[in-house]
This record gives sequence, C-alpha cells and structure tokens, in this order.
Amino acid sequence: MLKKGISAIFLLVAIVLVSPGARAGVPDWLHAAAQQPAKHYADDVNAVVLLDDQETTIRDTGEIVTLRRIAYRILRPEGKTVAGFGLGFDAETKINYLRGWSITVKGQEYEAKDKDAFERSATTYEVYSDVKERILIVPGADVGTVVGFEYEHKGRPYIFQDQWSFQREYPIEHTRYELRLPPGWEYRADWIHHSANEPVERNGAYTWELSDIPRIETEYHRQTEDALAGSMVVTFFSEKIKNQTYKSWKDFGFWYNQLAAGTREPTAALQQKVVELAPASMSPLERIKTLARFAQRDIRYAEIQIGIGGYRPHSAGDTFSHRYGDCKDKATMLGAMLSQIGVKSYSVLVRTDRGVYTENTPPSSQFNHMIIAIQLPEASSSQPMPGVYEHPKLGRLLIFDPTNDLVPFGQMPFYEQDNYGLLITEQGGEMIHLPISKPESNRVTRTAKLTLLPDGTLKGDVEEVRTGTEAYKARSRYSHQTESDRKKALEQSLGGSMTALHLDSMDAQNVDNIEGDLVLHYQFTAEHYAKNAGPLLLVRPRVTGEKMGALDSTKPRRYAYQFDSPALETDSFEISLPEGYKVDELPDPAKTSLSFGEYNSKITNAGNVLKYTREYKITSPLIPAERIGELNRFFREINMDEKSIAVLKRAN
Amino acid sequence: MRRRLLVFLCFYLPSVCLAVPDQKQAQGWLPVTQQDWAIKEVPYNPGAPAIQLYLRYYKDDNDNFISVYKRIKVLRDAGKKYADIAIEIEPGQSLKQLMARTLHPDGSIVDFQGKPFEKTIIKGRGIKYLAKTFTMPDVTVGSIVEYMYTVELPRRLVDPISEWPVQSELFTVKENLRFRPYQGLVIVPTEWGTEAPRSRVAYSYLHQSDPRVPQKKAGNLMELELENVPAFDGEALMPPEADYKPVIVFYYGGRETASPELFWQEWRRLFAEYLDKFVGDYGEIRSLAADLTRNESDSEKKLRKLYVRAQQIRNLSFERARTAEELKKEGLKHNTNVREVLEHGYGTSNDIDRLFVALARGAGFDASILHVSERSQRSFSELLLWLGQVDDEAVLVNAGGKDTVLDPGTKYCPYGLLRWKNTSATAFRLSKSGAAFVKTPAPPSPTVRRTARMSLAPDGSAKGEITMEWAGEESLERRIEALDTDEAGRRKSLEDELVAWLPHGGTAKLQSSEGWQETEKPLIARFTVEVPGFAAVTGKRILSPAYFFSPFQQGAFTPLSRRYPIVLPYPFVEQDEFTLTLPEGYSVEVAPYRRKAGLSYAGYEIASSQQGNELTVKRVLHLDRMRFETGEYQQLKDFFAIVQAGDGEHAVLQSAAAAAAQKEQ
Repeated sequence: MLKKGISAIFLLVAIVLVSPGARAGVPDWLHAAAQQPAKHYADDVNAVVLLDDQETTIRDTGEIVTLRRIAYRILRPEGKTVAGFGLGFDAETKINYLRGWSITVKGQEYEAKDKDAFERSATTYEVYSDVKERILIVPGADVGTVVGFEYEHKGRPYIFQDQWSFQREYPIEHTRYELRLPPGWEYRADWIHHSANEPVERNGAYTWELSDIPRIETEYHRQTEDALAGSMVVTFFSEKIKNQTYKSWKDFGFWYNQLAAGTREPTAALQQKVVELAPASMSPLERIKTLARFAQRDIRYAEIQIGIGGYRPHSAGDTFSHRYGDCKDKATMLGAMLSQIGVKSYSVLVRTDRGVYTENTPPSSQFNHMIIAIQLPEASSSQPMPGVYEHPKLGRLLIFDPTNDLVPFGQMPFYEQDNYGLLITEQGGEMIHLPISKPESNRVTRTAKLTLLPDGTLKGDVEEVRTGTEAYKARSRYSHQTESDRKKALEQSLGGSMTALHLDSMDAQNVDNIEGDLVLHYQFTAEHYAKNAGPLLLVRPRVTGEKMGALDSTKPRRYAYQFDSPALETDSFEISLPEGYKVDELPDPAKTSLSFGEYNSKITNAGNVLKYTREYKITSPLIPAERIGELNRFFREINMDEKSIAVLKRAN
Repeated sequence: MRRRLLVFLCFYLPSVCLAVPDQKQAQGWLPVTQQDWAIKEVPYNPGAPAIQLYLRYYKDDNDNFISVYKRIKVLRDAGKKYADIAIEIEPGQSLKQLMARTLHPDGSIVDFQGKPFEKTIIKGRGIKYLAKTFTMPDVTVGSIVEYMYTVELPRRLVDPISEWPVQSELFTVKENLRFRPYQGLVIVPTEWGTEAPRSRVAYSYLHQSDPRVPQKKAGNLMELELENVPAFDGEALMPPEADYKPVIVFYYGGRETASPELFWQEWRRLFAEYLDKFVGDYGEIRSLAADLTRNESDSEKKLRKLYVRAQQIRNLSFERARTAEELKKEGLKHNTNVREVLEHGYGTSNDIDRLFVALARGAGFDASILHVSERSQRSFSELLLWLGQVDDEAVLVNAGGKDTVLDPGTKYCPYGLLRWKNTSATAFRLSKSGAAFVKTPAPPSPTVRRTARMSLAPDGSAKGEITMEWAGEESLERRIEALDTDEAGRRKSLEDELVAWLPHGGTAKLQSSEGWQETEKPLIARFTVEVPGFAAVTGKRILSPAYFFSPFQQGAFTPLSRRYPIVLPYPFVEQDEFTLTLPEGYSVEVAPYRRKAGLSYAGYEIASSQQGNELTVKRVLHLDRMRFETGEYQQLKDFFAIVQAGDGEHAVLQSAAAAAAQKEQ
C-alpha cells in the first residue's frame, strides 16, 4: 500500500524512539548483578541471565502474587532483543507494575516505566482472545549492557499452581524462587527435567536457589524446548480451596469436570441433527463415523477465548448453532452428539508438542489442545484402526481429533501419536500413552516408468501414493494451494535434483477425500539427466525423492532426534535404456538395519531395463542422543545410495 | 530506509459542504444471482479457495467515513478462513453500522447477530490501533458470506493520500470504488505562507489493466466500476510486484498537483532551498577541501580524497536507533548544516552525502544531491505524486565533463558504486540547474571467485580447502549485513552460505576471513571442507562430479514460459577453479566435456585439464544484464540448460587394474 499509514512495526519503533524521558533510578539489585564478574560463554551465546529472582506470595484469599526481577547481560549484537520484555495478562490476571532499567558499558543508566510500555494482542490466529502482552523496551541495548526488569503480577484465580521455569534459551547464572504461604496452606513441589532440591525455610518462606544452568541448545529436529527444559511446578493446597486444586492427575480430571460441567448438554436442534445424520438404521460404527465427520468438517475452527474460556469449552448447543468453535468446543459438541446415540466418549487434553508430557510429568496445566476418546462398540472390534487405545477398564477407545480436518476417522495426527494425553472420565483424570501407528500405515509408494534417450534425456510417468501421516502432510500443503501452485511447487522440488526439467502434466487425486489414499501422477522430461562421458552414459537410478535428513555432524548432539512418525517409503523405478547401450557397471546394493529403521536398495538390469528399488523404513520416531552416531551412519548410507551411478556403455 | 519524508499533514478549515445524498447509509444487501450460486471455480485458477463476488469501497472525506461491502463465496475448505473478519481501526476512527450474514444455496440465511470483539494491535503512549473482529456463523463450502460496515473517520483531519483497493488476494467478479474528497480548503505544506492558499485533489492510475477509468459524478464523487479483477499471481525472480499491480491513489495538494511536471518541480524547489541552507558555503569546508586536494590535479583523484574524508565521519545511520535520552546522554546532536557534521564528526547517511557535496563544491566541482528511488520495492513513476518514492540520497558530481553518482553516506560503499537497490533507478536531482530526473548508473558485475583444492579418497569422500572472494556489490551487502552481528555470527553466516552450495552432507569450517572493514578491497574467506559421498564408487571406477558448487539457477528455469520479466539484483561473474587430487592408483578414464555457451549478454565455459594426479576444472559464468524480458526467457532457459549440464558433468576415474584390463581388451 502506498499510503503511509502507520504500521504496527513503525509505531513500535516510534514509541521506542520517543521513550522514555524519566531519570534513571536503577535499583541496587541490578547494580549488584551488573558488578558480577563476567563469565566465559560459547561465542554463539547471545545473552546471559545474571539473575532471575521470583517471589510468589499466596494470600489467604487464594490470590497469587508474583514479584519477579530478572537481569540480563547482552553478549552479542543478536542479544539486544533482551532489552524488550513482554508479559502476558488477560481479563482475569493483572500486571500491578512493570519497570525496566539498563546500565551500559560506559556506565550510562536508563529507566523505563509502566507509562512507557505498550500493549498488543498476544496471539493472532484466533478470532478473539483477551490475552494481551505488555511490552517494555529499555534504551541502551548494546553489547555489554546489563538490562533488568521488575514486575508484580496477579495470577489467575482458579489455577492454584505456579511454575519456576529455570532453563531457557540463555544460560542462567543464578536463579531463586521464594514461596510465601499463609497459615494453613501447604504446597507440593514437583521437578521436571531436574533432580529435586529441598528448599531453605526461613521466616515462613521457602527458598530454592540454582546456579549456572546451561541454555537449551538449538539442534535440528530436537523436541520442543518445554520437553527438555528444567522447571519446578508448585501446587498449593488449603481447606479454603478444596476441590479447586489437584494433587494428582485424577484430581486434575475432577477439577476439569467441574469446569466443563454442563457443556455437553444437548439442545433440541442438536438432537434433531443427530437423528438426521445418524439414524438408527446405520451400523453403530457408521453412526459414530458420521457424527465425527460432521464435527470435523462441518464445524469450522474459530477460537474465541475470554478469560476462563481458554480452559472451558462453549456449550455444545452454541457450537452447533454457530457451526464454529475451537478444539474443546468441537470435542465437547461431538461428545454431546455421541451421547445421543448411546456412545460414551471422554475429553482428552494433550500438548501438541510431543515430549512435554510423559508418564512422570506432575499434574500441571500446560495442555494446548483437546481431542476426544470414543468408546467403540463391541461390534467394531474387527476394524483395525491405528488410533485405537486399549483401555483396561473402558475397552477400545478411538482417539479422534475433530479439529484436524485432514486426518481420517480411525487415524490420529502424527503430533498426537506416541504422546501423552489426560483422559477425563467420571473417575477423574488418567494420563494415557497415546498409540503410535505402524510404518505400514504411513506409506509413500512411488513407482516410475521412465525412458532414457541417447542424449541423456529422461522422460516418463511417476505415481506417488501416500497414506496416513504422509498423506496428511501432503494434504496440508495441497489444501492451501491452487492447481497452479501445486505444479510450481512440484517443479521446484524436482528441479532441485534434475536439470532442465519440464513437468508435462500433474494430477493430484483425493486431496479433499481424506478417506482415500492421496495419489499424485505426473509426467516429466529432464534434459541432460544422464551424463555422456566418451562411450559411457552415466545415470543416477534414484531419480527422485531425497530421504536424507538434516543433522549437524560437526557438533556433539545433546538431545534426541525426532522424526514426525514411523514411515515406510518404497520406490520402484524402471528406466528403459537407449538402444545401443548396455550396462557396464552397477552400484552395489545398500542395506542398513538399525534399531530405529532400515534402508535397502537394489539395482538390477533385465534386458534393456534398469530397475531401481528401495525401501526406507522408520520404526521409532525418537532417536535418543546416544544413538545419534547410528543415525549419522544411516543418513550417510542413504546419501551414498542416492548419489550412486550406473555406468552404461555404448555397444561398438 | 535512510530518510522518510513527511509528505504533508492536512487538516481542513471549516467550510460549507455540498449537499450530497447520504451515501454512508448502507444500500441494503444486493440480490444473489443464480450465476453467483453456480460458480464452482475461479476463472483460470482452478483450486482457488474462494472468490470475491462483489466489493464496494467508498471513502468520503467530506462526510468522514469509509463504507465497505464484501461478498465472498467459499469454494473450498481453505476458503472458510474468509469467514473470520478483522476490520482495522486507526486512531480517531470508529466502527459503525456493521451487518454480516451467511447465505446457503438452499436459500437459508444466517445473520450475524453478535458484537465484534476489540483486538489490540498496538496501544501505548496515547495511541491505539485496534481491529474489530468477528466470525460468521454456519459457514460451509458453497456458502456466501457477506458483510458491510462503515468506519467513521476523525473530523478535522484527512489522509493526504487515499488509495482504492483495486486488486485483492481473491479474484473479484465486480467491484465498485468511490471517493469523495473534502469540498473545503485543506491546508497543505506547499501552500503555507501563500496569500491565497488553494488545495486541490489529483489522482493517479498506474498499471491500468482495464480501459475503464474513474468517472467524476455529481457531488464531486469519483467512481470506478470494474469486473473480473484477478488476484495477483507472481513469479520467482520477477520485478517488484508493485510495478504490475493496479494502483489508484488520490492526493490532496496545492497548485503543484495540477500536473506531474509541476509537482516534481515545486518539490524540487523546496528541497533545493532546504539543502542549499544545509550545504551552505562555509569557509572551513572550502579550506578543508583545498587541503585535501592540494597537489592533486586529476579530478577523480581529488574526488576520491574528498570521498574518503566524508566516509571518515561516524555514520549513525548504520548504528542502532537511539532514543532522545540516549542521544542526550551520549552527547549526540542533530546536525543542521555541513559545518556541524564536520565539527561533530558524526552524522546520518544524508548528512555525510551533503558534507561530500559541500567538499566537492569547495574543491570546485559541480555537485548536487540526488533523491534516489529504490528499485527493490517498486520502480519510480513520475505520474505517482508521492515523495516516498525517492527516499534515499546520493550525490551527482561532474568531474571533467563526466557525471558520476556517488554515495559516501553508505558505510563501506566504494567510490563509484551504489547499493544495488539504488542502481538503474530514477533519481530526483536537487539543484537549481539541470534536468530534474536522472537515471543512476547500472550496477557493475561483481565477481565471485571460488578456488577449491580437494583430495578424493577411494571411498568417494573428498576434503580440502576452498577460498571464496567477493567483490563490489557482493562484498558491500555482506559487510552491511555483518554490522548486525559479531565474528561468530559472520563465521556462521559464511559457513552456512558455503554449505548451501556444497553437495548434500558436506560440512565447512571457516579458517579465516578478511576485508570486513575495507571499502575498496574484496572480502575473502578461507574454509576447510569435507564432503562424504562426494563421488560415486562402482566396482572399477570412481565417478566424480567435475564441478563443486550447486548453481543458484537450479530449478529457476523449469516453467515453459513466463508472464513477467526476470530481474536479478545485479549482473554477475563467477570464476571458479576446482582442483581435484585423484586417489592413488586411479587415473582419468574420461575427462569432463568442455562446454561453452554464449549469448550477447551472457557467457559460460567449463573445461578441464590434467597434470599428474591432479584434475583441474576451470569455469566462468557471466550474466551481463540484470533484466530479461519474457521474450528472452526461452533463450535464457536454453542457456542455463547448458550451464546446468556442464556443471553436472562427471570425471570418470578408473583403477589401475581396470585400466590394465581395458588395455588388454
């Protein structure tokens, strides 16, 4: 747009440049932090946390107030971002104050106060959320500057829990957590990714301190930071908040049941729709499937989150009448519909980043998604479905995600597989290990019939059939592309490994029909594909499909490597050789079998046809750090095979 | 962006408005036709998620409102996102008269009955930018969503520029665009101090794709109706999209808006007056210029000395932006003339360019400031009466009858060079004489030299050393980028760049780099590299790539044809020498072919030679232009097919045993 309307970014800069004008009143704690002798860090560490001090006070009314002071030293130009501090709040929480200061290397001091802060919506994807972020930026952000922030924050009234997150993207030199409880209140501290420490008790306050906490390193395909970082979850108990807090996952389930009470009540219109969609004449499984599909495809995803609405679903009737809702709204409405046909179902809370929750995670509310577990009728037991969880008491539970409209009934999105979810029943909450699909459920089967011409041109047809996770991933791309965009993307992808490529045709089938396999047909011509070398013609039998993953072999690996899901990819390429040429040499077959996967390939020659077949199989999506050497070997083997060349010779 | 011009701030004086029917009031929903319901695909773009059936946009500066009506049909699941609406509300504006509804093919209609939410885009220091958000009920594939609203604009203030949303992200079947300017007097800067101030409204229509033009209707209403406006569909390596998208803008201004000539002439006069004051004619500047150029008779050498002195000024434009408080504490003051620039020893890019003008004039040269456009975002159009087009400054100096464009205000910019975005661009010359518009020179071809010495092992892996050398634009842009990082950051950036060129699985470690603080010399980096699986090994042969680097052009020429020209930032020259030491016991069975291709504006050659157990491949690729019209695409595609084939050549090495066996045969 030409109009020089002030964009948010421009405004941000403008606000920063005019603020702040007050005299600096740098507190003693920040002066003390700035005077600490500098420690040595790796040269890619952008900033270090000199001090992270948190005091949590529980008032007898149940109000939770946090006072936090945090000081950083900027070590690199890239670390200047720590001079901006963002703090979330919404209608039910409050920032009592937020201040910031900085001390430059030259000793200049700056201060930024509440009035210098600005606010913005914390997220953008939802239609509306009342979660906002207050941001304060302090001046003087140069390498060597020490910046500090202090704030007081009033917590959410119905979550009697606090978390001390003492490990993040920057190393922490010293961190302290102090807890003050009124008489009659108790706490429980649970440690995550760190050994438990006992607090020091003094004057009614409990204090934990830690020093020299390393940062979470960035590595290709590692799990999310929350799955690796150390933290302590503190849960509070008192007779005054009985039934409003939780000691176990079971309690957490009860707590959630109270919160969501009544939301599954059907309306007459919803009941009528169930009758219309899933009449009793259908088989029980068909009825379930039909209702699941309605929730998945006909209820549009739209999130409206206000205060407690981030946790409590809207009523099933409202979601049905609006035909939109977020994950918990969709799951709740589906639960209400299923109950109309006598099928029990249970809400399941999950975190979409695998690894944040495990069987050892203490009860805490870091979930970001809700799905549903549907109790399948006995008659459906003959139907093999990768998304079925065998519960010892509840029997076969189909784990279904009505929010993801690209994953068919019976399957689960890859990010929920091998993950943990909190199953919420009338008996409370129960952490369950969600099922993982077999490699055979997530296939890419690629077949090609190709012809090589004497000048090195390769042309022919390719068919790719995708199932399970592989179909889902391709559909997520295709569903947002026009036919022209799809063609461009395929040309770009093939053009990376073939010279002078031309895509003659392309056709994707079942992009919208998620129950069917996703099938892609294309025809291409690639000039100069095979290289003439005197009487020889050099041809790479692995025509398309690169399977080597990204792994930095120059640095020791710290964390596990994560694939999306188990997978099985098979390629079968037949290349008709040009007349007058015969095979002079073929590459050796590749064969690797490791604890997490297999790779085999073979090149044969029959008549004038070169046949390349290979199978790539991942059986376990998480490779522990101690097995990274194996993974490296696995990728190396694939790389060698993918580059291998068959030598053809011109007959005299 | 080095300099932002405040175009003009306008507010109007009370005046009598013309009587115009109240067009702010919604005219009610339009009927939905059978044709609308029948649409299943967007013309010429199958698979598009949605289609905009109707758009009405009406901005009225006289009655202070914007009225919008949109009707969108959802064609696919991905198009349901158009049911989530966000209406941006700027400070002083308020949302009025919102109506929205969803229509279904069976005739059912679901009205939106809620209230929109208020989402904070940004709020602070008395400024509040909001979005009013809501979502439409009961939307499925095949639904039509439509909504209309009115945004009330602040009184006593009008936007200096108003733009019509001619092209949106969806194909639009029909659109109706209206604008009614304020009927009274708008205060504009060019009329300040004049005895009889006048304000007027002009408009520009660029990249017109339809013969229809805005029509003036009763009540000074400007209106345009368009049909079948496609969404913009760009291509890789195309010129800036802004050069093709239709733009219709209205501006308030003074007498200068009567014609583009007058507009640029008037602003040229105003800027020239301002700059004359800034540059001035100071004795100390003249004296410095004389000192610097003493004993030098060659004009260019004189200018170079002045250029070096100007670049010695600390360039604040390439440092972090500072608050007023920081400037005060650090004792940094705003320069109001070139004497202060020299005295303070610091300044912005513009201050440094202006100091150079003063020095050059002091040494007797004819020098003037240029306001230069940036071709990276849009090409300059004289018809567009918008000063934001010429946002950067440079210097035009005449030495020995030859005009030279220089930019000492860009840190690390060598004498004679401009940043590529300012090359081949229209510039606005600010001097009392000479043409108002000049074209900046085309960028020279920077050379990238890559030298690799690698040893090949019998298992096909290779390791060795690579030296890379960047000159001209290539080194300038890298140096400027490096200002935002440190040595570790520069190392990572260089290693990442090299690894991206290496065959899959290759690793690189930077051993040394030099020239980061230089202006004229090239930037040089030396690496050690390892590439497992570099060559393919068969029973009796090793098949080694003849060339080391993946060309950037890979995949760029796959489409059969193009709709838009190809534009590169600048022409380039790649000079590579790759020496491969063969593994012991291997000899060359077939050397890589020599390939050569040439066009009037491009050349390529790759050839190998062998000495002892070393195979050396030399390659040169140059593209002497940066813009290629669509008619030249096939020629360029064919050229790069040869480049790619040459770069993909292999050397066939054979073991001694195989060679002996072959000999026996």
